[in-house]
Amino acid sequence: MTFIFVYVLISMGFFVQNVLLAKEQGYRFKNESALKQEEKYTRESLRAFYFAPPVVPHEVESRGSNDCLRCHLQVTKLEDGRVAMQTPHPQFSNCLQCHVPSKTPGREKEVLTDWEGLEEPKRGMRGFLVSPPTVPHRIYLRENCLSCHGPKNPNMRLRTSHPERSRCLQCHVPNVDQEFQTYP
Amino acid sequence: MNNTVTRRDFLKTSAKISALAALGVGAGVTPFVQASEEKNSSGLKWHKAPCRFCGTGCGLLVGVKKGRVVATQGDPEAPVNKGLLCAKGYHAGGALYGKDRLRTPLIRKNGKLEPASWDEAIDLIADNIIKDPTRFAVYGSGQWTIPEGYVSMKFLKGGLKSNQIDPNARLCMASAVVGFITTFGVDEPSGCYDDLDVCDTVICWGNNWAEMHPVLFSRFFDRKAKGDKIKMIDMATRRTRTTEAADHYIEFQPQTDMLIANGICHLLIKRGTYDKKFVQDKVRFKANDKLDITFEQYVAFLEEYTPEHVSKLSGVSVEQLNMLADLFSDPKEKIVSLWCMGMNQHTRGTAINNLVYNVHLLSGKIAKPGSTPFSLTGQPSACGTCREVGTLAHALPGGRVVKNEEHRRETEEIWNLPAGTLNPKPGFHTVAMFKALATGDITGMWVQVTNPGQSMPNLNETLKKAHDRFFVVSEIYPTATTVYADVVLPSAMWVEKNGLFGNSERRTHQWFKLVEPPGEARDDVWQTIAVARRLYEKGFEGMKDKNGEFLLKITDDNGAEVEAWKWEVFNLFNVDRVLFEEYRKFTTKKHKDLAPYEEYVSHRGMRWPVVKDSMGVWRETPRRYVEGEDPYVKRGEGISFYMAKAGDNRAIIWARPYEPPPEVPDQEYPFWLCTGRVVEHWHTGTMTRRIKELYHANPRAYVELNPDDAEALDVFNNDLVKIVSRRGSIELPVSINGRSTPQKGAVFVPFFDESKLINLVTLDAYCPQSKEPDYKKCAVRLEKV
Repeated sequence: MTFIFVYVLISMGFFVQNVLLAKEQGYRFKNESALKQEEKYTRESLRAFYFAPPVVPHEVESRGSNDCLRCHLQVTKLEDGRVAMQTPHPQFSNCLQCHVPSKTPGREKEVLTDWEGLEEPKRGMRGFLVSPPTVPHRIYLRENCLSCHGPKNPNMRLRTSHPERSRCLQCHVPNVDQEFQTYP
Repeated sequence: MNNTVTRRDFLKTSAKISALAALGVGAGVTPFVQASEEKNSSGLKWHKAPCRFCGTGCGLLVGVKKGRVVATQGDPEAPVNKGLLCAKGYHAGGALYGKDRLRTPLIRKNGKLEPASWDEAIDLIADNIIKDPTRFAVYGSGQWTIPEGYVSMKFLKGGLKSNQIDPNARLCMASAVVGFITTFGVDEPSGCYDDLDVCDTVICWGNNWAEMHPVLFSRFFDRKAKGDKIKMIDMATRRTRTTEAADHYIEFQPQTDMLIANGICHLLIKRGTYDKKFVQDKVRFKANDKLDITFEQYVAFLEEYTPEHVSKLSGVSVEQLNMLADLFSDPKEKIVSLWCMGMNQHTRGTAINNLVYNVHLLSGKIAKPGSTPFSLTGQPSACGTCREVGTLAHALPGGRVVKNEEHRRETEEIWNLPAGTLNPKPGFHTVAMFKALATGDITGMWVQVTNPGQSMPNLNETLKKAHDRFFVVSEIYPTATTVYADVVLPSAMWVEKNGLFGNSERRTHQWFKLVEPPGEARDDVWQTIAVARRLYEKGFEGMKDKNGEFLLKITDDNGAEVEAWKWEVFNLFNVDRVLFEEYRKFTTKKHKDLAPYEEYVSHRGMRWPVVKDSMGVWRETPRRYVEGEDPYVKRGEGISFYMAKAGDNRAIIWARPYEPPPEVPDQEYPFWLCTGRVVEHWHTGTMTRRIKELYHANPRAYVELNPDDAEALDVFNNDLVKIVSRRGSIELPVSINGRSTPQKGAVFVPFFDESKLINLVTLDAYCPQSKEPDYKKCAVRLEKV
């Protein structure tokens, strides 16, 4: 009985701490679910499936990759209010190999497809109620966690409440769903 | 593992097992049941499969949920791509789910394609074949899986006793094949992708690999970010994304690559910096007319290729030629030469392939880690199926040829045919085959896994003229080819069936069926077996072997016949494994040994020759001809070109002179036209143009112009111009300083757009040796619309 009481107390402590941290970083608690929905929609509209390489939401004139890194090496705020996200893998130099433009003129037809990409999991899997959530995607190409989960990400849904703790994978372990099916 | 079916969920399998039992399939068929769909919370499972698109052969992990592909990612354990993919690979799953996927067989009635039953379609095909079996052709593809190509070849060469089978690889790899065979005595590269990890310099011979083979490009180029001192030299006729990343850009006039290669050899010999020991021990010389010549005669042949002469014709500066010669002169420099269609789709394709080998042989930069000439491929199994199985008009499986009596005997023995029944006369090569279809020398054709209605050169002279021929197309979507069809057969694609592909570096990949094909779509292997069986049932003698049994008989592990022509049976039995094991018997003759099927199941591909070592382990061969890596090189030999035709273990340096292209720009048609691909789309766009992300990235064809030419013509971006050649014309929007810029006096058009067929304009002149047409050079004029 005492044990359960202590457990609940500690859990609540964590919860309060997270809420305070989030508040400090300006997380808007008002109308939270609508905001989340909007962010999720933007995220999904740029991807064929959850964790597919996002398409480029602006026109691309460059042929080389250094031009991409000019904005995407760090989170960059543009004059018109848009925010360029930081790449989690600047060591790969041929950006346009995976990230294709999406605003190319000359589209004459609608692409009619039954494709349904893998959806974003609703909540990361956890060992128990307040244990750190597992990582619901592969780590490869996303080794720099803070490029997406850092405090500068305009997508607040993805921000971590504790960016000062630098060793993410110490507590958040990869999810078993990423396992490869082996054959006999 | 026994004969197994592919993975499928438990309930479906149990239902089908009873069906199978009812059909009387013998013992030994043990369906491989996986009932673990509920194992993890989301129901998502990842399986290995090679990518469906280009010849790089990347390893994919395919995410399957509720019987559908929902995601693809790079396989971190795949040695080719190490977890990375390109945009096509990441979106590969979308190719399965286009709304207009073909779901039932179609037969043309009163000029319209109308739904029909499989039985009706197969009957119609069989009846038409019986009418004129030796003039019925199969036109296939480098996208055939290995068993698909093998069974089609056995059907045609063994069953119909003709050689009218050729693949679209003729338009793609033929020059590389003949280049390899003439220089080394056997097809396919000696090096491998590992060389890109250790080389100092990559030279691209007209090869925009930043777009066409981006995963390999990144494998090499990302070394720079990690601090390696590497160089890239881009030799090309237009500035591309590759140029942007290159250290040196060498722009040359179309066709003068031949001069540059001979020019480098000239300098190596003049300076005395060629590898004298290598040349003495490992090389011999031949003239263009196949006669042996001495080293001195070869030197005399090179006399005219002075830097000044080469520079004048090619537009490459003397300094740049000297820089190339410096690199090849340095014995410590490790150089990989890369090429793809720029050298292969060339009216002297075989010659230019030989000439690049010359450069590497003279400088000894071959069969050493980091030094190799390496020919890239464009289709996932151009190597595995077309080149190794040999689905060509002149070939038999495993590097054999129809002209050779011994080769025919060996093939007849494995196929259990009476001696002397195989036809010794080679069939038509691709360009001739489509001309024959127009003239009536071919009366019927079955097109499998390819789209000649868009990809053949000079389209006005091929299918458009082939009225009244019986034309069968196995396809997954309506294409520029199905419009000509009398019968359309809906096919299963990629992970909707079992398969094996062979990539550019001799690596054979295997995968299992992961999802059901849509509607009534069925495997190409099944289609071939079903038509063959119908012919057999109709009493067609060719479909019987020596003992009067069905030629394409499939047996289980206990030797009992499996009724594979019945879809219900085929669908539950791994026919691929049986066909692969049969084909494997052919592969040892040319030392392209393959391992048993099970080895490929448990590996992310293996590079042949795969030979069992003294410990009983099947070992792959990273580099061929190299002692310690290739089991066929004897101890103490170091490097041995052991497949040399003369039996002296020497490669051949060919004295191939420069020859001008058949059509050059003139007053009336002042521009060069070059055609090619883009990173987002794959070949004729049948699959990639049905994937939203890829279509949006590059929705339509365009013509790239040099800014100076655009100014002279007074056109701007997106203005329409008409491209006119002696053969045809189309209108396209202009692109100036877009993703590439052609040199002055040249234009470039991608060929993926089926609404803008650039092949109405292209030339069908081909290399006299490889019969591969030149899509990269013809003369056009531009008219402002």
